[in-house]
Amino acid sequence: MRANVRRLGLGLLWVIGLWPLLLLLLFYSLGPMATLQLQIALESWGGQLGLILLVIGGIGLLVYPPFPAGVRLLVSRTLSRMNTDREPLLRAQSDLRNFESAARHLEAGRAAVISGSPEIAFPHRVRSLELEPNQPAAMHKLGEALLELGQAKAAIGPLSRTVELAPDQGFGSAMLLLGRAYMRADQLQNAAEVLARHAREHGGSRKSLCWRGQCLRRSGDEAGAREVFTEAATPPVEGSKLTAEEGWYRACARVALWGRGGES
Amino acid sequence: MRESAWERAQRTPVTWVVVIAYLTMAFVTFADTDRAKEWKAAGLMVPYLVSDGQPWRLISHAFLHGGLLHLGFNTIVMIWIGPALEMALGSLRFVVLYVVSAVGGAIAVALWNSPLQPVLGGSGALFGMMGAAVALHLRSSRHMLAAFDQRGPRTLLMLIGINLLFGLLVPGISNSAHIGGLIAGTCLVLVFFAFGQWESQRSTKLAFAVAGLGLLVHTLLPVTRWDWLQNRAANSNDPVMAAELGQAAQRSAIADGELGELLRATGRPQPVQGDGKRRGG
Repeated sequence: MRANVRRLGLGLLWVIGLWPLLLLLLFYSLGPMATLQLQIALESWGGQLGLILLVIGGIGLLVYPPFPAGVRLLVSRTLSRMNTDREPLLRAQSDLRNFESAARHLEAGRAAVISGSPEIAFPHRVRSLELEPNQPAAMHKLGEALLELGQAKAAIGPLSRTVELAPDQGFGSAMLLLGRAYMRADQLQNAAEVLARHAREHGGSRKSLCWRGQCLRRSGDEAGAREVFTEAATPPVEGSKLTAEEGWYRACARVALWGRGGES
Repeated sequence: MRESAWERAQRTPVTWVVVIAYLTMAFVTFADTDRAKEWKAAGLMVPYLVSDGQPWRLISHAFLHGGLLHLGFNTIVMIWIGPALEMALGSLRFVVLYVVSAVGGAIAVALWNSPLQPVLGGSGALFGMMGAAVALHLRSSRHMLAAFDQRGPRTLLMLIGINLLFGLLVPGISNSAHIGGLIAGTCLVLVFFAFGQWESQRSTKLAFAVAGLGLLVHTLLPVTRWDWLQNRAANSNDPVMAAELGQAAQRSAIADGELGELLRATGRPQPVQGDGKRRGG
C-alpha cells in the first residue's frame, strides 16, 4: 500500500513538472487557441473528476468497509514509521563493524524492518543464515523478508524449514507466513493445510482467518470459506477496540461475505 | 576568551549579507524621489513582467520591503533564524535555500495571483527558512514525531501558523508567496539536503526537481495566460497570428475571470451592465 501511495505521489509530481512543457510544445505545434482550449477542457474535466472522486470517496467511506479501514491502517503505519526510533538500527549496524555474528545480523535485520526498511533487512538475514545455518529465527525472518519483497516461491523453503524445526517459532507467525507464501505461490492445497494447522495450534486471528477464507474460496470450498469469513467478520467484544490491522482484515472479511472478493 | 560579535558574524556571513542587503535596499527605495521609485519598480515581483523577459524579479523582490514595519519584522526573523540555519546547513546551502524559497514564493504568486499584482518582501524566503528549520528538526530527532516534543520546532510551527492566519485576515499580504516559499524551503531540505540515513531515493529527487523546473517554466512562459498571450499579440508581425493570439488572450481572461483586468491593461472600455455599473473589477 505504501509503495502505491508513493508511486501516486511521484506520478503527480511528474505530471506537474511535464504539463507546462507539454503546453509549450502544443503552443508551437497546434497554435495558441488549441492549446488554451485543451487546458480549459482539462481543467473543467479535472474539476468534475475531482468532484466525482470526492463523492465516491464519501460514499466509499460510508458503505465500503475496507475504505475507512484501509485509511486507518495507512495512517497507523505512517505514524508508526514516523514514531520509530532509528537508533537501534544504527547501533546494530555500528556493532557489526566491530564484530560480526549471526545474532548481530539478526538484530540489524529486525531493527531495519521495525524502521520500515525491509530492503536493508534482507542482506543481514541472508548473512545471519550463512554464519549459522538451521537457525529457526533467522530462517523465519529471511522468509518474512522474501515475502515482503514479493518472492513468495523463494520464501517457502526457509519458512517450511522453520516450521519443521520450530513449529511455534514467532508464536505461530512462521506457520502463518508459510500459509501465506503457499497462497501467493498458488499452492492452495498446501496453503489450506498449513492455515488449518495454524488455526488448530495457535487459534484464529482475524488475519489468519481472512487468509484461510481466501484460500478456501480460491480452492472452491465456498461453504468453508463463508464459515471462516463469518468468524473473521464478527464485531469486537463490547468495550474493546480492534487494532488498525485487525480492523482492515475484518473489513475484508465483511466484503468477502458479500461475495465481492475482499482479497487482502 | 569570549567570542566577539564580529567573530560570530564571520561564521554566518550570508545571513549578515542578506540583512545588510535588506537595509541597503530600504535606504535606497524608501526615499520619496523618482529614482527611488524607479529602483523599487525595477525589483517588484510582477508575474506579467517576469514572463515578459525580466526574470530577475523572481529574486529581487525578496530584498525589497513596503515600509518600516515590514522591514523590521523580516529583519528580526532573519537575525533570529538565519545564523543557526546557516551554521546547520553551511553557507552555500543556505544561499541555495534562500534563493529557492524566494523563487518558490514568486512562482506561487505567478500561479495564484493576478499577473498584474506586484508583490515584494523577503517573507516568502523567510517562510522557506522556517520550514527548513522544522524539517531539520524532524530529521535530527530520534524519530520524526519526537521533534515536536521540543520547544524549538513547536515555536516555529506556531509562528508559521500565526503568520499564515495574519496573511488571511489582513489585506495586502500575499499568503501565496508565504505558502510557496514554505513548501519550497521545506521540500528542499527534506528531499535534497538530506544525507546518510535520511537521504531520499534518486527517483524522489528527480520527481521533485522535474516538478520545480516545470513550474518555473510555467512562470517564465505561461502560454495559456491572458497577459502573455496579449503581449505576444501586440508584438506579433503576423496579423493572422496576432488575431489568434488576441482571441486566445480574451478567452483565457474570461476563463480566469480576469476579463476586467485584460480590458484595463489594454485600455479598452469595460462592458457596462444593464444597471449602469461597470463589470470586471
